[in-house]
Amino acid sequence: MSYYEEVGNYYDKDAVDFEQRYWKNPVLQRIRQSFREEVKQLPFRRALEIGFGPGFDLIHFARIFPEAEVCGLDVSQEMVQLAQQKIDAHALANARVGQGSVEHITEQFPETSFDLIYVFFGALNTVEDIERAFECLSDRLEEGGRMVLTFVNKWYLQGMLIELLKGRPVQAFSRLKKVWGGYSPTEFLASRCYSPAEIGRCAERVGLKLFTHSGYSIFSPAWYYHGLNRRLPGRLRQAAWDLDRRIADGPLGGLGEYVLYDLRKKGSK
Amino acid sequence: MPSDGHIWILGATGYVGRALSVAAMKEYPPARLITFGHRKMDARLMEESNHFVCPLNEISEGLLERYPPKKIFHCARMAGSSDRKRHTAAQKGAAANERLIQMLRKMKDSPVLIYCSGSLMYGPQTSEANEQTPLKPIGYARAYLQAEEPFLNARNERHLDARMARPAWILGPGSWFHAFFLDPAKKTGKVPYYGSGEQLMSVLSLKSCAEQLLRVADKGAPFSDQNLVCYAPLTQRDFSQILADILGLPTIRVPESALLKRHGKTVTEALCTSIPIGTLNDDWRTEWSREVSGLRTDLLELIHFDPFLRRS
Ligand SMILES: C[S@@+](CC[C@H](N)C(=O)[O-])C[C@H]1O[C@@H](n2cnc3c(N)ncnc32)[C@H](O)[C@@H]1O
Repeated sequence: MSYYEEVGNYYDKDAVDFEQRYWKNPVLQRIRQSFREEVKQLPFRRALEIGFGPGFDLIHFARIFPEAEVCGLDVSQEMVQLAQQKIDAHALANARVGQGSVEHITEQFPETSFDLIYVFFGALNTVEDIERAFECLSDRLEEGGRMVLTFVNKWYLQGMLIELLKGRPVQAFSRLKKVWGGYSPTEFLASRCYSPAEIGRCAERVGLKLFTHSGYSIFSPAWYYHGLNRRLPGRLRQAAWDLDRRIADGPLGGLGEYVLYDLRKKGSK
Repeated sequence: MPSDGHIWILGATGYVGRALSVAAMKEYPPARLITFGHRKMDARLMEESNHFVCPLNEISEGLLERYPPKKIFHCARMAGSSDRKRHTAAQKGAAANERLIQMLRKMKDSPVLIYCSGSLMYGPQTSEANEQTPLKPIGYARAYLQAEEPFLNARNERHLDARMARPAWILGPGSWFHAFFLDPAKKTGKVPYYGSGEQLMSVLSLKSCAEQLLRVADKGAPFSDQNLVCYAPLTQRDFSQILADILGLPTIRVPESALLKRHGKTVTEALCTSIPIGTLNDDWRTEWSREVSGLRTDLLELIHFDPFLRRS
């Protein structure tokens, strides 16, 4: 079985649960809202989303920007189906989805270029070769175009400390290994976490300028620390979020659970 | 960009703003609906509108350019839990509102702005207050008048078509109804009324408040005040009696002095002052019944959704 078949199968099995988990998780919702606001900062005509999952953002952007076109590529057939159902339900003429990995953009969307490419919640943590993935993306990005990419981050300091306190050193440093097994403690998915320096180098190689990078869940607990998030009083959770947003673009941002990268191709305003 | 312009809702995650947003979703597609919340996350707003988490004083000119509003619903009154905090909130609110007005003045086609105020602004009244009754704020409204003054001034100078909507007591989940009527009834087995009980109050449901707010933008006169009312005013004792009948409980009088001791002057003023509200703009309000029997239905609906009472 090829690597992408493995990734596709993993998400095929997880698709319906994935969607349900999201609706129950206010931390993920808050982070998604912030990701969306980053994307909305600049207008776009044609966007490409890699790894759209059940289609939360692809459908949303297609609905709020009917004058734009939103295309999507996802490696999981099940996710493609879920998103297609929503496209049909909303009768969205400006949304298109196809199955494949990031290297298959041209096959799914031949002779199409994009002024925005975005990835939310880490589809690029499961690619065979990150440098090659950057080449494929950059190749389809128009001059002056923008990429908003989010990655599961390598140096998630708070997570390391929490796991060490729980007496789980293997977990604490699992993101530093060449292969990270993914979020699920029971289902293994070979993935890889990247540091801001690594992403910066990939971007530079293909001539993209790193405009900003911004960390999430630096002090506020990551989305999967359910107990901690539940127990923390609302005010404290809010204060931690506010603090995170204030320091997100500085050096401490590189220690978050997720990092969002705003990359621009030459010719950008 | 939608040719009919955008609809902005400020304070969309708040009590009235959320209900207004839900009502607006039935009328406007997500592409036209721009909602602003602050802090609280709301998945429905995130999906069904173009949502921004952004405090009132940080809304940028860039957003005005990109999503030029045709109508702005302002439900973002900054609140406070004590007199001092309310005063500070009102000062901040006034500054944020002034800033917004200055930005709107630069627009080629300035929008209509509907400001959601309150009817405590009218103060004690012996007969129904209408839109021409001078403002004499009491209770919470004393501090909040300061926040709305920039809009009153901009309207007087004809810089902005600001319409001040003044809803009566809004009956919805949470809020004063739970704090001062339903919760004490659940705790003590008696439905309270405060002071003499003869003070008149005007009540409207949250849903009807939201729907009427939407209409003010289309049907209200430019630069006008609009009282939002539903049922004819009734005494607080009668209000408590309707609730008591539904719950099968007796009523109990809570003297003003007891209320004062427990909750202080602001709350006492708000609950014990007679402020019957009427309107001179009845023409566009025919879709909302003024039969007091409707109030019983609204109360029944509210109680039905109360998990505590549903269990019992
Ligand atoms: C963690 S989910 C995120 C889904 C969605 N973006 C969201 O925000 O909810 C990752 C998604 O990316 C897809 N994916 C993973 N690796 C991919 C790859 N190399 N190319 C395209 N899609 C991929 C998965 O099938 C899955 O739907």
